[in-house]
Amino acid sequence: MSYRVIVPDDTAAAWLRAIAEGGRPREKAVSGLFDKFSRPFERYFIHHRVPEGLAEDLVQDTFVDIVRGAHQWRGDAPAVVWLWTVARNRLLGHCRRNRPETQLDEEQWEIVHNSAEFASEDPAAWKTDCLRRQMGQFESDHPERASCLRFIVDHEWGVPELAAFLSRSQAAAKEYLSQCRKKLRDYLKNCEEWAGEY
Amino acid sequence: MNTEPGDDDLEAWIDRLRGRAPASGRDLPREALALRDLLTDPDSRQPLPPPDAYARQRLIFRLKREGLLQSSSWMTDTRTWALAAGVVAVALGLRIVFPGGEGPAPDLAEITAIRGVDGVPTLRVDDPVARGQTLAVALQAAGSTVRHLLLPDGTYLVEALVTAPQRPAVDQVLIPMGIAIPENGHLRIVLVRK
Repeated sequence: MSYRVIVPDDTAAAWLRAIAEGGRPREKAVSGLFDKFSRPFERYFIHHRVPEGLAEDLVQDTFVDIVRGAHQWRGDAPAVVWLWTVARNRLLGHCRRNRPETQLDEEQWEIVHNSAEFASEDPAAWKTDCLRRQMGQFESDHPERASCLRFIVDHEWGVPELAAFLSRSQAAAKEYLSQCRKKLRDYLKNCEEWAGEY
Repeated sequence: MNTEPGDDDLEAWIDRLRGRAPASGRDLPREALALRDLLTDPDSRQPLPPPDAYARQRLIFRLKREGLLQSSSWMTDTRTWALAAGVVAVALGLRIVFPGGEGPAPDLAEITAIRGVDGVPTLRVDDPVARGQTLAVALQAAGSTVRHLLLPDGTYLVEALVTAPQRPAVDQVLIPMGIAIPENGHLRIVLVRK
């Protein structure tokens, strides 16, 4: 589940500045940002167990937050990071009001049960399937941690960007990532063949 | 910086995930490479659908309503007139039938939405001719090329050809009614008697 946004940071920064300055260019800038970020934001929310219809509303709310808060962006963090931070804050507000919970019906449990029993004669295919399954479980159990990994891979974020996104110090962000890595290992070590590689 | 034991290791792990050679020169993270492969696996990366034009218009409309987007100056901009005409059209009691859509725009609760069948938005009104002409005037004021006619069965058809530059102004007419301009710019709206 990728959050990849294909837009140069300079462009995103120019849009943010146009929004902050107001006037007629603001609408064009909002449209530009919306076209690039609305779907990744929506996917990010859905990934965090926000129902699909509600995720659309959260996207709208996020862009209203962006327009209201654009003047607060000082360029300390890259524009793209700041935009994602606004989306994250909106998500946190939503989660405070609605604790996400997962309830599966009998049919869904059957699917889970069957997927757990999957076994292939091909060791490589088994390993791939196992890794995907465990990664999916990790993403489901720890969506925020999984999101950070996605941002590292998709946006090439390092510690400074993640620290800004998580609203933590760089040292705290490093500790968070370290814990994230440790937790992920616990999931992936179940795929024993691969676990033997490190 | 990386003076704590394990810092280099973590930095190298992050660098590998980012697809870069570790700055520390350490070559440990086969795990990170495998994880990166997993996260960039095409099977796990469903492509994102294109942006939703209607959702964008909803946002623009909301921002304008909340005073966060500037409308252009009075009297000189056809969009102002188009918006006014749109509001008048709604006030006149237009009722909309949404063909296969998701339902009414949430900001227009007073408009009744019913699913249609043939993909053409249908307005259920008291007087199709009068309301159709009102709508046609509003669309013309917004700059689009419009033709409108009474069909033999008593329904009134309004057609407009909307070019890209005209879209914002025409949207101002249509958004209050929850109607989106088709991608090809060929707008058709049918008005039927209640």
